[in-house]
Amino acid sequence: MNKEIRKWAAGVTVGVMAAGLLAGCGGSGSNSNSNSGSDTGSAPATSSGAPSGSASGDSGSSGGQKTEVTLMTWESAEMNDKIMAAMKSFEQENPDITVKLIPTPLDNYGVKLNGMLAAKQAPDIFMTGNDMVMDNGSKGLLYDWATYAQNDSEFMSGFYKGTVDSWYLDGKLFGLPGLLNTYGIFYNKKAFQDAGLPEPKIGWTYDEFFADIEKLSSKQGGVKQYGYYASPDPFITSLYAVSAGGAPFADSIASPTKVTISPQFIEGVEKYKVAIANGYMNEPTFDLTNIMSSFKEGKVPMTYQGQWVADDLVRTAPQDLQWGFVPMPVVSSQTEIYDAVGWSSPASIKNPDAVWKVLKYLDSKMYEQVLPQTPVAPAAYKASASAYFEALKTAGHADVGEGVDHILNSPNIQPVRFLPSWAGKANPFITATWPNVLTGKAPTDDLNSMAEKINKVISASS
Amino acid sequence: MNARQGQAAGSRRGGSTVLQAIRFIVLCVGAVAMLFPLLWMVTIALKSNNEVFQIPPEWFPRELHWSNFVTGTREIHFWRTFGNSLVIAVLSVVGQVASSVLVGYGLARLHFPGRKLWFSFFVGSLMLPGFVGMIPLFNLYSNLGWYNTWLPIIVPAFFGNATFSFLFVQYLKTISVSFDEAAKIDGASDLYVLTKVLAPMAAPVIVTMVIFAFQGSWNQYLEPLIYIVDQKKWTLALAMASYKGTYATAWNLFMAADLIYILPMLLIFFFGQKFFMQGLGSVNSAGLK
Repeated sequence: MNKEIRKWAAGVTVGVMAAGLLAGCGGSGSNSNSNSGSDTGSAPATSSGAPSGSASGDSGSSGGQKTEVTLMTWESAEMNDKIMAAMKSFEQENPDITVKLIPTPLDNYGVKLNGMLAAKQAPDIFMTGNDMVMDNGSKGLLYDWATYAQNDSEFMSGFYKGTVDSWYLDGKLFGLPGLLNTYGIFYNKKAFQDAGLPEPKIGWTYDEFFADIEKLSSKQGGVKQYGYYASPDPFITSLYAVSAGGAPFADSIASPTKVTISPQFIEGVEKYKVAIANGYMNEPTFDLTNIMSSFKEGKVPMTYQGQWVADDLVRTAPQDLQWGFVPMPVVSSQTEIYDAVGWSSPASIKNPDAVWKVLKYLDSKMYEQVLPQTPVAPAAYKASASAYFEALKTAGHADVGEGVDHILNSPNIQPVRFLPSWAGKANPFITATWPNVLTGKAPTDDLNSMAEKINKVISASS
Repeated sequence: MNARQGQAAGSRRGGSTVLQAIRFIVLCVGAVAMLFPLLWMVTIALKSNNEVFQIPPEWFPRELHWSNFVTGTREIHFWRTFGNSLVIAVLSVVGQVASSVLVGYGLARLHFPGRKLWFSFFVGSLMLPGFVGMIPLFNLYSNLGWYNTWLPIIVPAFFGNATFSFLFVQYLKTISVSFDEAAKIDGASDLYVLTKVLAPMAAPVIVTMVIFAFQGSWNQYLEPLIYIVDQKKWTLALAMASYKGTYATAWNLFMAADLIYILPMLLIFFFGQKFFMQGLGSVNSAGLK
């Protein structure tokens, strides 16, 4: 009897497991809907006709039937819900198109995307970084939107000047920028008041900057407080070089052909070296991971950050923390860091007309609706960026919006990092040399040798 | 006892007490180091998001946000993905353990030409990093039409695990072959010897394999990320990773869900630790043979 019961129990367990296995193994040739309100389609979409998976980019349309456009982001569930809520308006305006979200985690997003591209299962539109665009575009994996862009000059003229340029590769447009990341200095107003210093304003100079960080640094009760918390790398130091009339470190955002260590670059390095040696700012090895926590506690006079921390400060900073934002200082002319994330499509999309419509809406009107709720970054599309600035103004931080707008209208922009695929070979030379030069452990001349090695890598890859 | 002997005895007792005290202190320090991250997870799970990165850090939250456990699980469809992970983990455990036991028995007890060579291959395969096989396996599974299914995660488990096979081989070396011979004299087949004679005796190492196999499957992230697209088929590891946003992460909700995530592993280890220690201990002594 016991044996029979055991047999039955084993059989039932195996049956349940098999049912579970089959539930997870289905998916070939079927369009399974995603959930949590992210699938906004209300009518059956046309079958993708793909051999497997529901995430195929092979959305086709035939005579009056709905076209399904799949979309993938690396955003959190909360942000995805807001994006898809905004896309409902698009679907109402375009009843022949449904938009389906394929959520994926941020961690190892690139690995996931590469797998989907290799399996020809990539969604019609996916979030991408500028560097990923360069890499995938050079391999022929992305759709070229150049013709659509040429035929839609009215839409294309709506982007901030220069922001689309680095999404072209060899004359092909492999995506559109969505959100722009700008970088500047968040400062504690009270620290400036206590030090008897005027608050920094747009257009302040590097001389004022280095003088301020000297006065803002202190050592009380054996605890060192730096006047400025940041990790200046060659690209940030290049801002000093170009502003002083010198050559930039990298001569192009999308496809640098060489790196240059100009006399003005060396001048900037020497200034940072003095500041580090005298304890006015942190050493390169200082852990800045949780610096914003210290900033919220009022312990950080100035720190170099991306504008997205403003959203967190608005929501979570203590009421008595008076903080401001200012773009990087100048020597004589303005130059800023350029960094964008955006949208691309795989080369295999079957209905580019529908995808282009969704892409345009994502890049413009979607951000107009989402950014006021979560003002993390300005949209690359000017008309949509105003929603971001308005949200900051409403939160009482118009200064952030003004600073960001000033940065976006900069006549000169530089890369935030190397974007091409050879970056992996070039970056170790920076890692090996740069911190030692900044801390004085290596002579400044080593920067020339560093540049030489990077230029060899660039030459070898071209 | 004379005075000198008494003095010596007293010193031995004192020395023993001192050693015990040192041992106790070292163990306490180790215990605190091990428990601290877990307790910190609990405190973060009960905080509001604003309090998480407060400096100086506060051990006890000002307000206990028990709702984080509800909100956190709801946001990522926790229980559905929990069920998915459980199904995958159980099947993977069954596959890995069953196949590894069969392979281990064959290598340890059956005498066939090339046995030592095959054993060397198995052990040698442990030297290969997992990434080496990732691309060819991806191509294979894609061509088989297994993309966006659980098959690439579950099926390979039924083809043996080199580490577990090695563990089982080493454990079997501690069991005398006389048990096999006695059973075979009575007419038992190899399968009967394995399942009815050796497997019960090898319970410690089998439980060890179960624990490791479950842990590996439960925490698996890269393979589910690459092969699964449909959110309804996500595993818990993928769901947990979706907390992380580009610009902000709700750490308190993440920790709350994470505490429930690690619960099955904690329970398995808690109930299986006796066998686990026996299993590892016996392998250590068998490894010398």
